[in-house]
Amino acid sequence: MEIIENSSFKTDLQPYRSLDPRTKLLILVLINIIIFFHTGFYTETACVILICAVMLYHKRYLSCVKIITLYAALWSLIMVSIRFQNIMVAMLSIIFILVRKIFPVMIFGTLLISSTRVGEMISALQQIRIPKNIIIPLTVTIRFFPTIREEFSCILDAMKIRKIRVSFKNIVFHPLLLMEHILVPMMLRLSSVAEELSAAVATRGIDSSKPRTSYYQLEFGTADVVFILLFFTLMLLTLKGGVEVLL
Amino acid sequence: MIQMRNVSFCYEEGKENGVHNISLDIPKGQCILLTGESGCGKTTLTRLINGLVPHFYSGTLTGEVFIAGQELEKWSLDELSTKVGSVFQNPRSQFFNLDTTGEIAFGCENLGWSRKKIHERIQKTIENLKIDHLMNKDIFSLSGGEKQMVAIASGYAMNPDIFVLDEPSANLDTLATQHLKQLLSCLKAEGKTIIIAEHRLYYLREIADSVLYMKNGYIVEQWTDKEFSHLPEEERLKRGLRSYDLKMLSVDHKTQRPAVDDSFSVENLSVCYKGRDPVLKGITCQASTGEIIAVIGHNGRGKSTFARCLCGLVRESAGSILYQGKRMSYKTRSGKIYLVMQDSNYQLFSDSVEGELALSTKDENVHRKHLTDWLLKKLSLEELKERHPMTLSGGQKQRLAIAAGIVQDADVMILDEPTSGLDFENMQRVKEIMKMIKQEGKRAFIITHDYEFLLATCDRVLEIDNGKIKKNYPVNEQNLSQLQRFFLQTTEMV
Repeated sequence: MEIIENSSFKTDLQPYRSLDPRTKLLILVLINIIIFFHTGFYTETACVILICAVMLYHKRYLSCVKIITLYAALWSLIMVSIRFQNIMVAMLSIIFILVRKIFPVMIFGTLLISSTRVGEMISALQQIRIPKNIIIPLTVTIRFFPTIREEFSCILDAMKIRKIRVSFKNIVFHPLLLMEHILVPMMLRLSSVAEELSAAVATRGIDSSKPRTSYYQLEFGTADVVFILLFFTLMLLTLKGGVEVLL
Repeated sequence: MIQMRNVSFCYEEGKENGVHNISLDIPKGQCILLTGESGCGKTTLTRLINGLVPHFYSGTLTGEVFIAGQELEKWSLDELSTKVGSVFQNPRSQFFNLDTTGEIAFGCENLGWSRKKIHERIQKTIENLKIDHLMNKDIFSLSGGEKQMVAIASGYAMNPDIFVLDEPSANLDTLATQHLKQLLSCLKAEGKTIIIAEHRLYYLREIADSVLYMKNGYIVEQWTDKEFSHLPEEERLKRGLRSYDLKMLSVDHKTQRPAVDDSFSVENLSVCYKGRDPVLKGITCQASTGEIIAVIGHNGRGKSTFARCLCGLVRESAGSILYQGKRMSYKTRSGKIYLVMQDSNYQLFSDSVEGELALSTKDENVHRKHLTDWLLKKLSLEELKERHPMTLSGGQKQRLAIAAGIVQDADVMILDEPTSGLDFENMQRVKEIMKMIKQEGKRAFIITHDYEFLLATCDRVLEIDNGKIKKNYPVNEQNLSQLQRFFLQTTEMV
């Protein structure tokens, strides 16, 4: 009996708390709308706070702290830089503002990718009836982010060994050369990974005409409803002029 | 199970070599080992079995291929995937999912099996292959060996009768290769038909039923396992094949060991990543001029951190590295201590072979020019001067990466698994280069799992275990038994 006990294993997935991928996708769309109708400081901050709440739900405490600090730093930089009447500083402040704009989408996108299994994502997209020829490229893209990160750090190591420095001086004076040294090996690596990957996937029946099933079961819970409602309210407010109207 | 009649295939783009006039008949439950130098057509032959040729890689196919009683062209790739499971060389690029369980379920999901059936298959896979420790893991956190196990498991889950493996051991260490061997004998015991293309042969002894030797796209010779084990060494070397029985190997007596000096020394080196236990705990060692040192040890015990710290990719938390009595700081090390990465693709940045070497040096004097030309000649890269580095073969890229280090005037070279995935001829070349490094008065640390290569090139062995040097001894006849214990006993242990 004991042997059987030992050789049996948990095929139930480790309990980990995450929103349904469909919820996350919907929230991502809502965030995009909120940011697109750019309102002001309060609406954006409200949005970032909501995102932080989602992160806390996913138990990403540390990244939550990081994000708040970063966001505060961005705002202070903008506040400081718009007081200068220097062209260089003005250009910098435009960059800061752009970064601030895409910031919420970026952090939520990162959360979406890092907290969703590829299999879950595929089955979520299937359930909302996205055609297969969109799902596969989309999931491949998602799958590629960690690969890019891994390849990138390898290339940086290799550059260091070859004495190609990613220093401030090189960034300013030889930006194109530096870009070439990073991007060319990266592209070549990624294209070979892509080819090998698609060959591997082809031998696993990805082309099958049968409707795909999913091993992961998705569950739509209370938390999903709560977060969707929160973001939806914020979006409605944005359409009416933002949180600022209430003040 | 598999029949081929006069099969020839050539790729459309003509980039790779195809195969010619292949006829074979592989009965059910057999294990076939395909071998031969790089580019001999082994990989193409495996693709003819898993259907990637002609369904994925297009070209002209003549002759007849029958897989499980049906003609290859009539199979669609997804139906064939339930008959043939494939494992590829590079564990990095064969996973679609980022978690192991999802990956193993992936093929079954594609075929539209019910959740219950998938669950059963996964259970069975875990049970039969004994991989419960690998479930629910992040793919990126696995070692190369573990990744290959997951790759085999994900094929196994679809319950195929045939397994096709293309150089599965290329990125594995001794222990992982051993696990691979176990897994293969497990598959064989279940009556699966196995086809493996490999350079490293020793681990397939007693698993392979027959060995096919390929050259230029033809099957030239065929042996049974027994015949192949009795093949005299000269015959094996003549065909450029790696050793089939590592126990037969011994130390090369002719090479002269370099005189001991302390031109390069590592003192009490420790590395500690933030918030974790120290990875290296006080490593002390010396490397004399012209000395080639093998760094051995199982994966995850500190070998690669040692290498990364030496060449300035990781900062030491204590200790120092001295070259000719002077301390080399973390910053000055990078470039002076040169690392040849396992995958040299990352290390090449320029658009021509010549440019690659020019990149390594700022000053353009006659001496440099001389050195560059000499090196290119010596490493047989001379005719490829104008070529783009990425169009070179694996072995050529590796030689170019080594050459760049020499031009860069690095005093210490570190090579990370220089022989992984190399055929015999390229391994011989690496040996020659090591001799050259010796003569140049440089020194090298080679991280390796390749027993055959170690015996032929290295002067001394450093065994690293749990962040410390466990053993440090010269390679000679007296120590052969120690080496055998490390490399071969793991073989028998399991």
